[in-house]
Amino acid sequence: MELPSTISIASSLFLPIVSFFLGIIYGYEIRKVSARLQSRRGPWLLVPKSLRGTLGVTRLFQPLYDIIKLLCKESLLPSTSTKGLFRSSPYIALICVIVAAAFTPVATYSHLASFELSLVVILYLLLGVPFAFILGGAASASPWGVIGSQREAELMLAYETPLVIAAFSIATMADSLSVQKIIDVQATRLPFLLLNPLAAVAFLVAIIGKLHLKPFDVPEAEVEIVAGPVTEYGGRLLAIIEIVKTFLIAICVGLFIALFLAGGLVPGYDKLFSIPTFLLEGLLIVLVMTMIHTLNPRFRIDQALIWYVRVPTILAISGLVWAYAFRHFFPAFI
Amino acid sequence: MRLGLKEKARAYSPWIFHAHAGGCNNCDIELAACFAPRFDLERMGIQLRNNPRHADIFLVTGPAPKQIAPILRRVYDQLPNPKVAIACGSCAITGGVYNRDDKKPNYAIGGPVEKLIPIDVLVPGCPPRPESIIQGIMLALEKLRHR
Amino acid sequence: MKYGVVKLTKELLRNAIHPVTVNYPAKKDLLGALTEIADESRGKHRFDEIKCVGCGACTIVCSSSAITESDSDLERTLSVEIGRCIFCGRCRDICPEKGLELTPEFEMSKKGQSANDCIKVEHSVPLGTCDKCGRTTFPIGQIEAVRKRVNEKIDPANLVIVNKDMEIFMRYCPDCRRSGSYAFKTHPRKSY
Repeated sequence: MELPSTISIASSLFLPIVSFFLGIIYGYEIRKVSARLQSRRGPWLLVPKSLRGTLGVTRLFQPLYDIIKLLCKESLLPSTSTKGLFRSSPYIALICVIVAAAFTPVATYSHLASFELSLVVILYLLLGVPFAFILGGAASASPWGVIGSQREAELMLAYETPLVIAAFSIATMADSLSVQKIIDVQATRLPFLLLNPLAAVAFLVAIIGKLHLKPFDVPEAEVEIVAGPVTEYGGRLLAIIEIVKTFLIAICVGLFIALFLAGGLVPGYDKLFSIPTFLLEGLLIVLVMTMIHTLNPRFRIDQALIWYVRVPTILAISGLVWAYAFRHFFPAFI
Repeated sequence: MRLGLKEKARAYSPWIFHAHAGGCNNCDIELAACFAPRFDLERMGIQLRNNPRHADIFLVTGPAPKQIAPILRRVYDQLPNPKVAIACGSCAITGGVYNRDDKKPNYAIGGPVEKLIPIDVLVPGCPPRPESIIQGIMLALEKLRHR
Repeated sequence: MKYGVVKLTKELLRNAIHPVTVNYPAKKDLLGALTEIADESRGKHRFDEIKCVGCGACTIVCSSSAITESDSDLERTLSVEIGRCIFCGRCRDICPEKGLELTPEFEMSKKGQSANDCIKVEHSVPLGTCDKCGRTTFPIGQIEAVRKRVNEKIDPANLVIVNKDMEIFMRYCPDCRRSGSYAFKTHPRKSY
């Protein structure tokens, strides 16, 4: 691997910012679409004229406003918490997620994604996020935080298995662990969504668990355990956690598009054309996830665990088997 | 008057914590209606949080009986600054029907809420209509911006 | 179960097309009245300047003692403390002259630290004075209302004598009436 040029360093610094704003748009879409599906209006795109003095012109950047507001608030530390761990764990998650964002290609553009093991690096860094949440929740010394951490740990074990197996079945089909290489393989042939739909479904369900959307929002079950691991967080530390969640949406969706939809590349078109396709596909995936989010009630933790083992894991394993069979029977295709 | 991004963001995404301090539960139902489809408060970016540590607006309903009075103060202190408090309903403002006719203090009531915590906005009504609550929240936002 | 999911999805899509959220700020017609609110909706009080006689029946019947009356030298003030009112509408129902009504206006929120900052609805009526001792007696409107009501309800045989008595009665305060009833020739036993 050659030495990183200035362009690659600049792009890898620039990518997290892009995926942060993508995450904000996706976050807005989740709120807006789930509101519309519940026959509400959701955050206004255009605020009525009489309220613009108080509420501004548009609510499109609603998650961003949440984050700015929280950044300007006081953070309270519970006196019984393990203060160092409590304070540092959101920052650990933030670092993990920013580095992962630099590795995730936004519409095929990422210099770090061409690194040979970038898929492994992204999966490992994404594992760091729930890990930091578990630490923070456990350090907060609140019963809700501890219960939330415990559930987060159990759920992590459940969703991480199909996620990794599905990702590796794609890597098997592409014969590479580099995300850029996987995109390039798809660019010339069909996208892996069509070649290996089993792995795609398993990956999508695992993402839903990772983002704590409705059937699997067990760790953050509001009303049940107050806010799970983030119960005791407030102000600036909560803002960091919200930033992490914003990044996480963008990374998971970006990874799905990179692995299964060729990063937005359409065969026969220019590379630049992949940017609008990428956005469109991202919004579509978030739409599907929001439909599932709105349609389902919450699983109990044991139900979620068993369901994850019973359905997505089996799907992911059959996807892996399918990938091996595909390689064996159509070696020319790869 | 030009506002900074900080002041704007405060008014753009207020999160509400609802404290139920006694009373007949009617204001609580109207508040639930505020977040239901007909009077959807989320169009203004307002969310109902069940956690005082996440919230900006402290919305109290009920006359605050003696048992809940110290807890109400404690929960109010758990909100990080800046924060505003709304007294929602007649009970929270004055005690409403829980007052005695002869103006002596009721043996079970620890106050109207104003005795326990500093109140910023008053929303009268028994129960207040959801639009009335929304108007109260809009007034609270103007205060929250300059905290 | 599968059928249920399909049905629910259909319902979600139907919801997405027809949101039920009402407008905020609420819709008003050309005259400024709210269109989406029932006429019987009970909101802020309004005293009728002409019809209200200041009898104070509403203060007695008020279940949360939100309506209070206070007499000054020349006028009686009825004030409704909105922060205490429960909008039951009993004051409106009991009012003998139909001089109090509840308007559909509901946006009464205010900034303020205590209940004193809440909206108050006030109405003043002039008080009459006693011809003998000079003390304030009853609201002038109430005296007239009583006279009218008595004239309507009384047996016509007694109409003349009662009217003569009322002419005298209405000018004095209750104490003076009692102490001077022989002098005024209004004592009940005079007709024996």
